[in-house]
Amino acid sequence: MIAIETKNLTKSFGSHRAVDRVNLSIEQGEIYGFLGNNGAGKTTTIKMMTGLIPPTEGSIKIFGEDVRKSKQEILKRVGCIVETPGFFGNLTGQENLQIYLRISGSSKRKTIEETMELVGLDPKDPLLVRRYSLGMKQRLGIARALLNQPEILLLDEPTNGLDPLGIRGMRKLLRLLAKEQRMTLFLSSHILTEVEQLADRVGIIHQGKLIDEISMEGLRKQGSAYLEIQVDRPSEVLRLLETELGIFDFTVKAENRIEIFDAAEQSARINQMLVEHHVEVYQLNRKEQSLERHFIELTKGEKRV
Amino acid sequence: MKQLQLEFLKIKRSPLILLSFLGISIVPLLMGVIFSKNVNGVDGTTFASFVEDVQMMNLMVMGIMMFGLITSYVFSKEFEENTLKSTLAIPVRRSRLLWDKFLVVFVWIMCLLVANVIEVVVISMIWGVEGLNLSSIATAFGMAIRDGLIFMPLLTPIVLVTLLVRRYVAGIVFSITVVVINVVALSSEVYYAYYPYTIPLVLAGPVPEEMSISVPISIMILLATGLVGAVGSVIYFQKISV
Repeated sequence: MIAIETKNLTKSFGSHRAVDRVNLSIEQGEIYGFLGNNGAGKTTTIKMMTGLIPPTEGSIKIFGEDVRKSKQEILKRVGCIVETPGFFGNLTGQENLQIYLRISGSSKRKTIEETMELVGLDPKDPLLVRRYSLGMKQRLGIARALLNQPEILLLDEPTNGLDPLGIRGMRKLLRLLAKEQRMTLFLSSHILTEVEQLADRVGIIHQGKLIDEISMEGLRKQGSAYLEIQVDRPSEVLRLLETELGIFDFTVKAENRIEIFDAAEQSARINQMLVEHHVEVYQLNRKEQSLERHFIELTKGEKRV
Repeated sequence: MKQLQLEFLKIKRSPLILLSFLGISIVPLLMGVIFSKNVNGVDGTTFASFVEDVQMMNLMVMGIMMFGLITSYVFSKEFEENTLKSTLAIPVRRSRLLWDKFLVVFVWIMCLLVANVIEVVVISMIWGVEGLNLSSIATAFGMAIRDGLIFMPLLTPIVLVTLLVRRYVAGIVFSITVVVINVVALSSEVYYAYYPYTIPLVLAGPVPEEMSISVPISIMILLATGLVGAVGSVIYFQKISV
């Protein structure tokens, strides 16, 4: 069953097209990563999905219902975080959730305590939200999105402000929700590793346009392996690769590391050539094509993510 | 009722609640201080005139400043705290949200006015102001409630300004402007009766016979002001992008 479907979804602000004819089709229970640079159109897309802003053109259907026509009914089945979650700073976390739970008026309610514990917050904590860390606010935001047991979670940069442990915990939680509760997750992010580790399928949005959709499994299968070497003289190695082996597709990384593409089968030859030219090779590894590489190729590395 | 409770929960622990009660208590308190410094004590002041003086100050200065501040605070809070996106992503009608906030403002203002009368009564008891009896106290409470009701339509333009600017400060600037214009309007017989924010004075007190004022027109202007503010706010809030 299709959970989210957009057709030619477009949003213009004046002459600027923030989202440009985006077509998405996301299955129920799927974890969909929506990847893009800052300003690519991710948040605008989520805002349109939640009815916060109307599309200029096109349509959004959630569970087959048009968001513009049945917004109130659809929102009962959706939980979301849009940008940095805001809360009433003068209230505790529990009081904040109490407001949203009661407004939503949903009958399928998890208790506030259960939800807060699920995201690793203490429901009895008397701390006012204004004193929460960014990570705690993010967790509270997830808790708020989960309150009415939604079937779809729309999360805009959900790991913003979380420390590494928090990110791991969040990843675990999101996987659990998708698997055990068959929740559909639409996860926007500009952090490639986050999407790579969570999503079943990734859509890449660039300058408002959906430029690619690929399943992570497909990416792994399709992904050509590449070599990563760490040497003492990277500029000399680049010259040798070009002149001796005719290899031109490579990227220089930090700490004298070089990624060499479309040459994974030539690892022995490359190593031999480097040794012959007295280059010290500290590491030589065969690696699989990453989402990062795929993303940079598609967006031509125009902007850092 | 449930929604209203939620709106009240949103302002829980707000320092403005205490500040507003302190603010509205200043006028009766100052008059109490004057009584204490006066050689002749209350100096002929009756309970009715004391109430009228406090009422006049509330209607012209303190009220509009304080009520404007409260209105702006309640309506800007979701913008200031960045909670509106989350609130609007929950199935709740936008017009309902506005109405509930307006009810919070109404209840808050009524509480302030009632507290104000209680303060006047207490000060009158302390200083032995003449004319203090159950009937005059009941009249004072009635006047306070009437003043609150008269004021409500005048708050809707403040709601609109707050929604447009999305900041707390909008109500303060608006209220200061209104008070300044009030002073100017009061010096004119014509403007005093037909400028929306001085109309409460026309409706609150007996109109001097020598002044040719049409009270029904004043009422219509008052209601029209309220209607324009309310309709403008609802239309704008329905279309607002967050």
